[in-house]
Amino acid sequence: MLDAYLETLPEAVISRLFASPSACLVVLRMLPPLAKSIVMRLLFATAAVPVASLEKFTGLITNKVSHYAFSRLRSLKILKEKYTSQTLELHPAFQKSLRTALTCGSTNEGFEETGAQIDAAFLAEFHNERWESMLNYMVSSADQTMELSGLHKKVKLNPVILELLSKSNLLGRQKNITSDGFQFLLQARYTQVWTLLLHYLNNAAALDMDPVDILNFLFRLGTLELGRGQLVSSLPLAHKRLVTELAELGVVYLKNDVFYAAIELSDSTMDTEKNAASRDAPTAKGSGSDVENQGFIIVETNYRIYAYTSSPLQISILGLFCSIKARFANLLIGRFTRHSARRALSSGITADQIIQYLNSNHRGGALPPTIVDQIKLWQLELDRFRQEDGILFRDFISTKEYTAVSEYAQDIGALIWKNDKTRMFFVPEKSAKDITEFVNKLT
Amino acid sequence: MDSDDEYVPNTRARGLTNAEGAYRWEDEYHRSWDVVQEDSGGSLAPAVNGIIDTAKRRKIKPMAPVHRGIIRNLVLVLDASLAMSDTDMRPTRFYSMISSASVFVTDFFSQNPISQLAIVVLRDGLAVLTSKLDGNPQTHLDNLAQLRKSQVSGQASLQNGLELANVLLSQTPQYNTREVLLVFGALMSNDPKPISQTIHKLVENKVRVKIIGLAAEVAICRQICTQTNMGESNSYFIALNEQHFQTLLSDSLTPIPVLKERESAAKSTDSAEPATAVRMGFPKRQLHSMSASLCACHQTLTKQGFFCPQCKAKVCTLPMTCPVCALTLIMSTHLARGYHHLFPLQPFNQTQGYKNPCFGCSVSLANRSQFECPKCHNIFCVDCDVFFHENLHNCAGCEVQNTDVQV
Amino acid sequence: MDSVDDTAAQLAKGVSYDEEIQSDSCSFLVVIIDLHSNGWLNKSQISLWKVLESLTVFLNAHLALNSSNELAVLGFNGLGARVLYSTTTAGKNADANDIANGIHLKGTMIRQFKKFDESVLSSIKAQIAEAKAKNVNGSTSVSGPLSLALSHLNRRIREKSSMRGHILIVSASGDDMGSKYIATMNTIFTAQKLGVPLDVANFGPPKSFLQQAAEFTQGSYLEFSEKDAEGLVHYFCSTFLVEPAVRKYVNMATKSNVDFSAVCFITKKILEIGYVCSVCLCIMQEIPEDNKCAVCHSQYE
Repeated sequence: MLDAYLETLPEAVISRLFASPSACLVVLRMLPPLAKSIVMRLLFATAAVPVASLEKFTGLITNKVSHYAFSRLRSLKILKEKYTSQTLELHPAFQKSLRTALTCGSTNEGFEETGAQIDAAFLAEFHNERWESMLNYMVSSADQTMELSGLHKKVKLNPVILELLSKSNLLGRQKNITSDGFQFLLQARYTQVWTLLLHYLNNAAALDMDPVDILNFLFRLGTLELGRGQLVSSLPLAHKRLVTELAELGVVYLKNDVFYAAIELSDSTMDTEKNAASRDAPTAKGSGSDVENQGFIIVETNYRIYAYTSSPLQISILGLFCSIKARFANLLIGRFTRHSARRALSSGITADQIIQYLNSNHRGGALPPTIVDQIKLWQLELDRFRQEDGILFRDFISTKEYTAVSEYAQDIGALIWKNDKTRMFFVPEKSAKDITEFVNKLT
Repeated sequence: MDSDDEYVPNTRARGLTNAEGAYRWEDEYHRSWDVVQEDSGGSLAPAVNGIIDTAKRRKIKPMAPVHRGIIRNLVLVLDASLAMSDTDMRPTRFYSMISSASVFVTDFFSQNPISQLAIVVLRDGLAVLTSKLDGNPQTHLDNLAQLRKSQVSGQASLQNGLELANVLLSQTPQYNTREVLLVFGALMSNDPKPISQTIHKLVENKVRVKIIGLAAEVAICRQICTQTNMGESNSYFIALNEQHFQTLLSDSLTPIPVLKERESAAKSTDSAEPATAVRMGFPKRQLHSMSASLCACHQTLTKQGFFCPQCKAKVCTLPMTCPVCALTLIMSTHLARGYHHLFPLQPFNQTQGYKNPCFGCSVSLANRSQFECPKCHNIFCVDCDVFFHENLHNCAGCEVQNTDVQV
Repeated sequence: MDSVDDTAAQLAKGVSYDEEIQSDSCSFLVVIIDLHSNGWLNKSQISLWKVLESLTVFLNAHLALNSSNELAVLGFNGLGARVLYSTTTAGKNADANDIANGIHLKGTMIRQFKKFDESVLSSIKAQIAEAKAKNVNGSTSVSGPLSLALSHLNRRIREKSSMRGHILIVSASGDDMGSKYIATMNTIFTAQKLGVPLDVANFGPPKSFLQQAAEFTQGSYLEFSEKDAEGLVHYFCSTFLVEPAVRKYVNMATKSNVDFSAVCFITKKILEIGYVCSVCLCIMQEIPEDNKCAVCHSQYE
């Protein structure tokens, strides 16, 4: 994901990135909660802070939570440690940019504004329509692979995007979906957008464009206010092409040489569903609005699934791993059967992906543990064979010798299989030498 | 023959007939589906919302600022006889009772911090003291957890339970309230002697008994409750289901008003719950940065603690009775927790037609029920109404205005 | 036969997604600012405007940390308590006037901060000016804005389950709670029940009930004097910005020797041993001579 990508960048590149306040803001939002507090603590410090004093704040660095926070900060090169004086400070460029951002200092980061404005709801709809058409294409190719009865029609997709999807290994050679592709489908919108953007970055390097430059542009885009128009003609050529391609994806909206940010790239929740739902449902909400952002799927312990959605995309995704029984205007009823689960599992979706998808979209708490276990069990059923190369030891003279050697094998962790009755056991090849040495020592 | 004509059954007092003298079965039949009406647009939403709102506000009752016994001594008597193994409450009555009792204990101490609680269990015709009279919630919760592992058996004995409670409560000082909360699931009681003697003792000792039945109404329970509460008949209830049971338990969380007859008697001779000035200590917390010392309550080494102002013994937590000199030690904030019982918030009146947003949370009142505070005349939504009455005990509107409230 | 059948172990081995460490919870910060002019002029060593400079940076930081973070600012003075700004009610649509008003920062998040800062500052100025114009200079207790803040928090916490709330009180006046003791204590207990930390930034004289409030709710109580004037931003951002969900992992900076002592209702002296009326729970230094409670007039025996 984005943080994994940033970790791979060298120091010089990161320093360039941190010079932009927008980039620092986006990176700040990505950090785990304790890391954010640590950054805030060091942000306005005038000198480097001793490690001991910071440890008093967070608890010892060896403790699990602070260890995770510190290691994230170090790997993203935000935190710098001076071993000689045992002090910690923030990356100077990062500190300066973030301070500028928070104190509303002036930057030269913005684009040329036009003053035109577009309603946020329209932009959300635009983005959803484009993104879902792409996802629909992927699902329809999934259908083909799994030979489902076709819940939806074939859709056409812009060849540029098709190219991107194939290069990112989400679609295979014959435009059929891969295991990575399945995982992509089941992820949250924020993860999906950034995954594609990062693949785009990787491909861009091959096409002779500076990935850092593009990343910088994306970060600046990420902190734009939704719905304000920016002039395209004032951008350099590489960025112009980028904007056109982003418009295809639905990340920006392009009209008459003006582009508008359609989604907030720094928003990790990216609540596109909520915006879509509020368009569709004209019912009065009254005092029943006690719940927001709850999922739309209910899973019962008798393996039935109820999904309150009318979006064809979500229906298709659900159709991938459960069998649909009934479909109403705003409700979908399906059943988890062994058949449907095995079908999904054998096409490359893993049980964990299904469980994570259900978890994040489940309404009202945790999934029933019976269902979770059963999905994992179905996956285990497919793993019926395991193959290992090794040596079979047999024909021991006495039971005592057999027991001694087999116990030794078990102690060194090499025992794969044994049968006490027939006095045989099986070890992998690499441990065979140790066992033979032991036997020789005995005799 | 004459006596037959003069005999008029007291059905009205027993709740069997209504005001017109008709029996329940002679009334018109109320169908449950008639309650829900569609509005003019054919939508059920307003009716459903109305029902949801009423359910939320169920707990708000007008409370009069009367003299209540704030410092309470309560004996919780739990039935562990065979009748409690019935499964009409999931998983059995016994387990359901213990979980509700644990919740009750926690809430009891958070709302009445200077009170004390004891737990007695009725089993095999005996009454066993499971948890001594103590002001620390954790010990009671631990004992309840232990009780959970035990089995139900035998018959319940009302008399033994009440006698034991009586003995426990008669040792407490006069200014405390003496209450018994009995959860009774059986339909009979295994008593060695006539129970009327026990009832006499309870009345003499000014003990008030409240009984929650789980099965059906038992005449002797009604008699106990009526006699110990000086003729008032509002302390015997039957729980219809688990939620109702919890509601009945939580009704006991608020301190009960002192009985009128007793209050007038208090002015003349000594009797229950007279007003007294109770001597209490307010220790300060101190930390030793370098050394540690033994605490008087658990004999463990601790670095910080509260020092009794009278005898300088160190205790770990408050509220606590000093183990050395028996002075009650509390923080002034513990007393503050009880103030809202003395000055309760009056219920709001339902109103409609207000255009501005809710004063408490700025949400639009267009499709919601509206409630008005009788003092400051600000309008609130149903969630703020419930929040103020159940949790905050303040009206935000009254507080925000620059008005002084006299203590 | 030692088989490979360790199904139970395999089932238990799942995606070890350590929710606590990685997941992000959003928080709703309510800032209550004491706007009593005489407090800031006479009792505080740092002027209100200097504090507001640092406070606005602190508020920007809060909004920057998480896109779902929400904010409300309440001010209270002689006019009572008012909601000066709230992300729930503030319109999210930009208005075209800004370009006309010459806000030069081009359309970035920083521009949003700037707009927000100016909106809050102008509301504060308006409230102070109005109090001055109406000549309402009496002091109001903090129970008002606290009750209002808690009802707002209650609404948001009910609607969004991952939302945590916390409250910061910026105080300068030296007045005691007076007759609002009960109401203030009610708000503190409710905050404790809801799990809302109450932080206090005290620029005026020390106040024990605010220390107690911070102590009960796992909040931070800090006092500031003249020497801290230049470092205010640092203090605000390092202590008061810690989200409620993170507080259990860190050691918060706060005043440690909290004064819990009781005060006699009649003589206002500090007591170690006192007498408590069993009817109205008032604390007295000694039993009055006529054997009657001074507050509720009930006769003792």
